[in-house]
Formats: sequence, C-alpha cells, structure tokens
Amino acid sequence: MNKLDDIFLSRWLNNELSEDELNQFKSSEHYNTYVNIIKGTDKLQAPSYNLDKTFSDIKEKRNTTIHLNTPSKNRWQWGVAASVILLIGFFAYFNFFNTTEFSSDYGKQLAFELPDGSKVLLNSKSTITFNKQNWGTNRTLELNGEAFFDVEKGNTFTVETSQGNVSVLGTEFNVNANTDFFKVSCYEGKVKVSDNSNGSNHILTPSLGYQNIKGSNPIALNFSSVQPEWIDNLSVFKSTPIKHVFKALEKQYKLQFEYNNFDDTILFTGSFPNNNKEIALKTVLKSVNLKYTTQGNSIILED
Amino acid sequence: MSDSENEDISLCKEKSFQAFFNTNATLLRNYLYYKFGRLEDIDDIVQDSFIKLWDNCTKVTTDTAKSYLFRIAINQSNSLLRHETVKLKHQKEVKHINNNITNESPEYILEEKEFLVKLEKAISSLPDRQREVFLLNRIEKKTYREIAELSSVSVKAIEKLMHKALLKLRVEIENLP
Repeated sequence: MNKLDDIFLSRWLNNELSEDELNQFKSSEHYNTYVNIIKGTDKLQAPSYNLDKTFSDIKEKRNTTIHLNTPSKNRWQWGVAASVILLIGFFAYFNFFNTTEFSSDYGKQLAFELPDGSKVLLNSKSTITFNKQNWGTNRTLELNGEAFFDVEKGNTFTVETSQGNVSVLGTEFNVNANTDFFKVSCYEGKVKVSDNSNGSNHILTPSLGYQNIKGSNPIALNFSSVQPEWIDNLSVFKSTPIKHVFKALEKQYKLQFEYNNFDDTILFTGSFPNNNKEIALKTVLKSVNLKYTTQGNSIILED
Repeated sequence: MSDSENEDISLCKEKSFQAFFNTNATLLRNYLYYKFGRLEDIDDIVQDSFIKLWDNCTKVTTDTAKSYLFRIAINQSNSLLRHETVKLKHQKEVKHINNNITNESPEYILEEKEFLVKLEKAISSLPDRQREVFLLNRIEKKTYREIAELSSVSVKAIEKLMHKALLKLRVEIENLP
C-alpha cells in the first residue's frame, strides 16, 4: 500500500486524491476530525469591510498629505547658511534652524499635527511657522492666512498674526488674518483675542466671533456652525468690504482681479463655493451688480 | 498613443482607480487580517498602500498593479507588525453565519458549538503563514495558484503550508480539553 505524501491533505481539499488514496484516508482514525474542521471553517467569515467609506478616507488622506512641504530639505545647504549666522549669534542660529513651515497652495487645504498633537487645518494659500525645538515650553506659532485649530490641553497656545494675537488653553478655533483683515471664531473652550490695530482685548466663548476689517467697523459675530464653513468648501462673509471677498476668491481659484474705479466701500454678506469657479464668481459679482470679463486668470471688472 | 499606454494612465483616473480598489481592497485587507489579526493597524496599512499605488499610478500597468499593491502592503506590515508582542485575537471578531434552519438535536448543536470554539482557538494558534494560506483558501475561496501569486511563492509551497495547517489544526483540536 502506498504511503500518503506530505501534501495529501491539500490534494484532498482539491479533490485530487486517487480512489485508493481516498479510501485509505477515509479509513484513518482522523478523517472525521478533518471533515469537521473544513465544515466548521466554512461557517467563519471575516468582519465586514466598508469599501465606500475606506475609499473616501483614502481620497481625503491623499488630498491632505500630498502638498505637505517638509522644511529644510537640503540640510547641508542650511548647515552652511547656519554656520555663517553662528558668527552673528548662537541664539538666532538656534531658532532659525529649528523653524518649521507649513504652507498650502491656491485652492488647497492642508491638515497637519503640531508636536503636542494639536491639529491644524490650513485654508488655501496660507502659511504657518513655528519652532519645533521648544514647542513643549512655548506653544507659539505665526499665521499668515486662515486656519482652524483643535488645541490639546496644556500651557498657553498663541497664534501670532500681523493683525493681532490669539491665545487659548485647550479649544477649537478659527483664525483668518491677512493684511487689514482679522477674524477669529471660537468653536470650543475659551479664546482671548488681542487686536493690534486698536489695542482691544476680546474673550470669545463657543459660537462667538470677532471681526475687524479695515474699511468697516469691528463687529462681534454670532454663528451656529460647529466648524468653519471653508472646511466644507464654502467661504462665508458678514459685512465684509468687497475687496476682501475678491482676495478670498483670488486665493481659492488663483485669480487676479483688475479694476479701475468702482465703489470699494460695498459690504458683502453671503457665501461662495470653493469648488466651482463659475458659480463662485457669479454669486459674488451679481449680488453687488458688477459686470466682468475673464481673460485667463484675470477677472476684469467693467466700470 | 497605443492602447496599453492608455490603460496605464487610466489607473490614475479616480473612476478606474476606484474600480480597482473595489475589486482588490477586501482581499488585501482579509489577507493581512488572516495573517496578523490586528484590524485597526491593518486598515491603516491597506489605506496607505492604496495611496502609494495611486501616487505611483503612472509607474504601474493594470497587470502589475495588484502585485505591486500586495508587495507594498506586505512589506509595510512585516516591518510594522512583526515585532508586536500582542498576539492575534481574531477568533473573537470572526462572526458566525447564523444557521437559522436546523433539524439537529440540542446536544448536537451544543457539541458543534464547542467544536467551533476549539476550532477558532486552533486557527489562531497556527503560525502566521499557515493561517493566512488556510483562511485564504477556505474563506476567500482562493485557489492554491492564486494564493501563490499573491505572495510570489510556488504552488508547491502553498500546498505544503495548507497540509501543515490542517495537520496542526487536527492535532491542536484533539489536544484541547
């Protein structure tokens, strides 16, 4: 009688045993256990898997990490630069070398984490710089543009901008600061806003905001959304000089507005989508009765 | 532009990439799951592998995409999960398909249940490679050839692993109290 080989169980599952081999196997004392193992395994299945959700996660992850700028890619060159600065002062060199910068491109958003786990979502064409080295003791960063912060509990967290500073303990808030434009919204916790332009201080609690734009009076905002609208691809404005709405359009769609003379004291209250250029332009310009023509990336306003 | 070039580029498009994702994601995920049993880590690895593939969509053809994908995922899980001391617990998460219609006696059902518990224990105590091959064949219904292609080994190697897996399961179950 032939002895069964060292893969006969595999062959048995594939119905590849000869009649002799099969009979020999069936008469063995273990045959029934093997049959039960196979029957039992047939009743098992893997936990369910949500394909649609996973795919949208993948898309999201891909969009948020693809435009990440890692600073000082070329460490060697930085080293040379730094050693020159070393002559000027050790402290300056130290700070310079450890500065980390994140910036987002036209129409893109960028999500990243700070060293303490606080999360930042950067709106289009915005930049954040901070010092990685002493982040543990000094949570201060510089912002130019717009960003949403979800801050981990810890010592004071400060956002410095050209228009003023925003400092908090653990909380969620949005800062939009460009030249002549300063807007802060609090979504969770408590936020302190210091406005450089008039030296005023403001304490914000959830669903309250502060806005100071050159050309209109500072106003307190009251809103109901749980996160900034731009995260859902919508730019929202309240009593905002039209010039700043143009700037937002320029950032979002990489445009250039050109105009000679028009009434730039017009205030705009409303919103535009961040993912449809035509509709965005129409919504803003029709509502303020302005006619325009497009030439490549230029939007030319008619007098 | 030739046809094959057209196809190569097509994986970069969201629609065709999603179609590729839909045909391969569950298999990749279960493949890793059977081997390592760590659902959350594995979901991350699956996502990262697809992102890498997408980023490199111009470098692969529709023919090579699958093996490229599996290679990324396997490399990543080997380096990330190999040294974990947490032993796999996947038997707890494996769901039973309920057999609602049954003519069996209560004693038999009880016995069957006890057997299934033993079986799940035995499966989770299998060496990684054996468990992976065994479950891909039995649950995913993959042929030995298909399994061999997934991990770039010979069909013979898969047959040996499969045989060893069954043998070990039987010994393990007979030794369990």
